[in-house]
Amino acid sequence: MNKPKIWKIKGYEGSFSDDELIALIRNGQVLGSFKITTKELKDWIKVKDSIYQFYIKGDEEDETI
Amino acid sequence: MNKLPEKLVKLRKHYNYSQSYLADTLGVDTFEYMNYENGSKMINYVQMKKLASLYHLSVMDIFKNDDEVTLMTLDNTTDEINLEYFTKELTWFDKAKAYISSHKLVSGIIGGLVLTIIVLLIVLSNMARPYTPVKLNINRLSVSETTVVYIDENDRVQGAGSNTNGELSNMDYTSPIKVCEGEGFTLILNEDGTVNYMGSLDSMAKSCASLRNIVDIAAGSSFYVAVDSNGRVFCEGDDAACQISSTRNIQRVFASRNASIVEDNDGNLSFAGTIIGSSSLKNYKNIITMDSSDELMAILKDDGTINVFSKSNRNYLVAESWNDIVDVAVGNDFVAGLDSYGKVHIEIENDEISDEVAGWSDIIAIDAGSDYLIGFNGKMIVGVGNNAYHQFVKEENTKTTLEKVTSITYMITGNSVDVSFNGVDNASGYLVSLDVGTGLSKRIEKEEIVSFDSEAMREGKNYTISITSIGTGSYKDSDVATLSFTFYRPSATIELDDRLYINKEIDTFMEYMVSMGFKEENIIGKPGDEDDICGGNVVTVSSTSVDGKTLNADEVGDIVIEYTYCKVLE
Repeated sequence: MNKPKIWKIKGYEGSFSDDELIALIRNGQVLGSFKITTKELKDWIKVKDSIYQFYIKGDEEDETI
Repeated sequence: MNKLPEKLVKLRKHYNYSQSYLADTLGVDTFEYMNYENGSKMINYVQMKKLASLYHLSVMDIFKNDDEVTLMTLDNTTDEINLEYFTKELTWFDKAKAYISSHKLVSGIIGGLVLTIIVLLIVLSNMARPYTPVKLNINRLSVSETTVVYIDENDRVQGAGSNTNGELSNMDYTSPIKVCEGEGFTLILNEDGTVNYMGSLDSMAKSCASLRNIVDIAAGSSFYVAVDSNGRVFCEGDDAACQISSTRNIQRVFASRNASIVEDNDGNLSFAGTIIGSSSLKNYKNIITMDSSDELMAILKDDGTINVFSKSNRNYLVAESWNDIVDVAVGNDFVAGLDSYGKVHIEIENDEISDEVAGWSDIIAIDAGSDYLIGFNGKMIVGVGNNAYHQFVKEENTKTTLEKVTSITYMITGNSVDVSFNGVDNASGYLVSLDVGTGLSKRIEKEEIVSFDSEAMREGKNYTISITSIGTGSYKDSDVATLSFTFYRPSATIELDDRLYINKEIDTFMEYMVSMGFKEENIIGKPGDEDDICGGNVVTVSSTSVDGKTLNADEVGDIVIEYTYCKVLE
């Protein structure tokens, strides 16, 4: 059964499931500076300010533009 | 730094919940929940919502990586409260004071009445405080020099070996959650906090019968040590092992043959009696478990690795490099570790024993006597070594070895090496490894692509992919299938950059990249915020082609590229 796509990533089209978001953070495609949200969160929060910073690679260079 | 563990512990203590209760609430076993509190694993979004509901918090309160939350106060209003306040044990007076203070009340009749009501409520809630035994798989098995006792899948206690002292007699237990073997006696901790004793010592039998609300218990050769829900320690038997200096605010107990070890509410260890490595115990905090023999002592740390102390100062280097370990057992000349996939690792100078242990699967607990090792899969036990007391049934070596996997292939992408292969029938899973340091072995349940982080890999170096089919039932693990390759990292050499990507809008960029053969799904963007002002208005590709190789169209399409995009302002 497909897991519900609850996550929005600012700048990305579409929605993502919890597992998909975690995979994106793990492999560095979503960086700590990216903002994410869900319906329940009600606001954007940067990955690095959330408990999902747990999945950020230790050597990530958190570059912003 | 992950602050969730701190937050979880504080919230649980504030609400006086047990770890097993929270585990049930989140739909995981207690050990998994303990991993959330020790920071080795992370909760998922569904669990976040359950915790938020349980603790009357917003999901953001849980998801935000800090330790400040909005707690529900006693009158169901909310105040911003720093959880640090709740890290110390609050007395009823502290709680009453906090309540009054937070509502700007002064002393007087109204305050007195409120205080009285609060005191009554707190006294009543303390009277009803549930004791909190922790159910752990690793507590379902215990081994002495002559006996093996375990709790089977129907919660019945089973035993094998010597019954000279009646240690394996039938017993009137209720709902067992932990078994402990001493030399000549068996202890059973029940879910209701009572303890059953089987053996021939009247004093110990009487002592155990008087125990109530016990949350943890451990047995040495000739003594037991237990702790109740109020953190008080009880010990009976060996005088030296029972000379425990810390007998308050204790949450867990362990025992070696001749020492009792207690863990306080802050995770610190202290001991009484004699034990190998005793001087180092004070350096450990929040351990998962420990085991010892006459020659060795091993501590399983909360990061899933173990440290081994040897009476003869022998180095146990292999054992200390294992990771993701959930249980540990030592004999006089071996160290065994159980990983979270149910495989048992053993360091021993005996190839026959290590080969036999390598064939065990789906193990949930291990324990050892001086010269034998037992594994328990939740239903039955397997064992190797000295079986003089018939502690286990020797399994005849009639299992069929599984076939090796075939057609191993790999693909190097921007930051990973993706491995695929053809599986075999009857395998319960596969162990896929890449020889890049430790931590790059992955257990998967079925044939699927496995990704390894390529960060630590070196250009031009040869690497080997190793895959083992995991057996179960009447099948043994296969021999390992391997594939070697030379690693080249997709680099940031951008021939395309100068030709197109400066000052171009994103749509133009995407169209061009697709026309060059890149697959759209492999083009991963990092757009700036809407209100970002970007210096050069550029689309920058950070990774495209592979150095030194000529790529065909398919290979180009499989490369993951990353770009950075800033909005064009004009």
